[in-house]
Amino acid sequence: MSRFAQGKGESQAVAGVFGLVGVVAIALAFLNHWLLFGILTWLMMALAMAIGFGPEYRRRAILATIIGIFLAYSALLLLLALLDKPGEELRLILGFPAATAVLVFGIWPIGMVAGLLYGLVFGQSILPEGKLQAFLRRFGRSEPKR
Amino acid sequence: MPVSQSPTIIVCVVIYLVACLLIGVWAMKRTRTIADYLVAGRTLGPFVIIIAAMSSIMSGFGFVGGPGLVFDSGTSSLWMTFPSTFSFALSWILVGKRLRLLAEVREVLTLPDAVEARYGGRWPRLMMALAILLGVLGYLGTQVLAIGMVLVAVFGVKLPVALMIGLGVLAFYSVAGGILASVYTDLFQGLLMMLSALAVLYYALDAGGGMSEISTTLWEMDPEFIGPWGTRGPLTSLSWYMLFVIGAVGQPHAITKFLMLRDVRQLKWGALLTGASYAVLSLLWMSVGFSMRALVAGGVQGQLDSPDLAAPVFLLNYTPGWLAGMVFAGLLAAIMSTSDSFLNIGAAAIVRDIPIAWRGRAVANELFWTRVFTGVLLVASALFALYMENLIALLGTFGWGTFAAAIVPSVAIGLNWKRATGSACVLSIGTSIVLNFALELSARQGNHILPHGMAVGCFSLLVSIAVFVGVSWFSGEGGEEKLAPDVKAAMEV
Repeated sequence: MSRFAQGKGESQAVAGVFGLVGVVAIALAFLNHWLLFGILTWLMMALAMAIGFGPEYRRRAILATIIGIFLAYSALLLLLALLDKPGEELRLILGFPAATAVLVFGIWPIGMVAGLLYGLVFGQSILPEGKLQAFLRRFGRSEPKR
Repeated sequence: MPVSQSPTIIVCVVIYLVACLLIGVWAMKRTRTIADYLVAGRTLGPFVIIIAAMSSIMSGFGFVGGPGLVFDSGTSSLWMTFPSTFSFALSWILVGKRLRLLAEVREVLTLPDAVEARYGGRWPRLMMALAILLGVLGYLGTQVLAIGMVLVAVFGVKLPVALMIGLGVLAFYSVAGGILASVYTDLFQGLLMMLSALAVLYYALDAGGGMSEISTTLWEMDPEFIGPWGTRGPLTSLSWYMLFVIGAVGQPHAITKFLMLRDVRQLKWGALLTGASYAVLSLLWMSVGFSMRALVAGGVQGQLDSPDLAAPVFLLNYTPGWLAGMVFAGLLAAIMSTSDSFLNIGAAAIVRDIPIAWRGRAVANELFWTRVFTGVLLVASALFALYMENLIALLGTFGWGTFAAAIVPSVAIGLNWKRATGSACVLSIGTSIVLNFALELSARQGNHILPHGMAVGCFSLLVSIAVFVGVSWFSGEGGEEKLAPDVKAAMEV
């Protein structure tokens, strides 16, 4: 199996892109491009998820969720920017001005999807029992060592 | 802070303090080894870990400073607390399994232990221990001062007396019962905070005439205030969001809780449930700040001397006595639950991490000396709080950003990326300490080097990540080849 197929090349690339996106985010902040800075924030969050899931992130359900979270956050940020019109008449959605409602009822709860995904794929992708047992059989310790 | 001296509030707070003492006595009998003291002998179940992680992150800042920030600058500060739904999930995804599996193969009781196992050599451990110690000193000082101020408000006594009462209880259960007392008081404190937050949400909306009425009043006062960015603007809000969503993964008082879990399989639903429980606490942060500002704008409530008075004044004037008592106890709980976690990791840094980095072994009778230094740290932070308030305020601001910038690259990325190297770890931690300290100091003297209100901690975090990835990538040290087989296996499961 090639390094790429094992996820090794990809994990290098994902970590490299993560660092690079951080540098671009600094540049955007200095240029006051807040909208792109926000979208890069969501991109860093998605890349961080991919780093944490390791090669398993390539499973269709996980990859689709990570991309879905990134796209949903980005779309909500754009919607929030479009609705943010402080000079116009107040329009309330569930008690909040429309743009603030996007933050309260969209951006805030959507983070739960990441936690839900973690729980749902735990046994299959995060910690498969067979892998854990093999690891503990080979390396698990009964006495502390350093 | 206004003085209450209400009998109901005093009774609630006294009951809370006595409960903490009793938990300390119970935990003392179960603490026999250094592993018991630092990681509760890895005996804790998922529910305790979830509530303890949540309550250690919700400090006095969240209960008092959060509503104060909303009162002061509107929606801006919600970008600090709303990331929690995602940030806890990210902690579980990036750190939970890796750290806990590492503890299966090595004696990992602290983050510097994990860093040494991952990178080898003494420098990564030493730098991590120093970053933790600096952050702990700052955080502890602010928390200790907050404990004193709350007790001054409740009992109407002088600050030194209030400090003696609050720190006496904290010292007793932290020194005697170690982390076991800490997490079980966290459990009690966390549940108290959640109940308080839900009840306060009801009274906050009721006092302001409902959310629509509050929004309308605030919109008429200043549309930007209740707009999505508040008065601080989009870049500040978004840089706070980035700092709090990614930086949360590097908060040692929360992620060391993974080391205490009985079984790594029990991580499963923690990511979702911790985020959800913190979201309940965010309701208090949001509702009290908006409601109080609307009450002031509508002329129902007089002007406040300081935004930080928003929560205490609301509790005393707009909630029934039993709830005010419960929330004051909850507030004390928020502060003490953060403090006890910091005492634990700070004492471990002094007694275990720095000596091992310096001379290759921990001090003899580690449990005894960790208890001693838990007490010493508490006394030192009380003295700092009383006599060096400016330094404390600086270090307090510096705490979250330093932890984020020092720990996210080395631990969160490093435990998942085999190419990461020890040099990158040392350099990124060094960068994070220097940048955070220099920029915070400069900002306090009126020299805002970062443009457009970008948060210092966010900038330091991004630079530290870039240094870590860049040095690992280009140093040619071969991080993966140097990994011990058991550590490598822990990174591959």
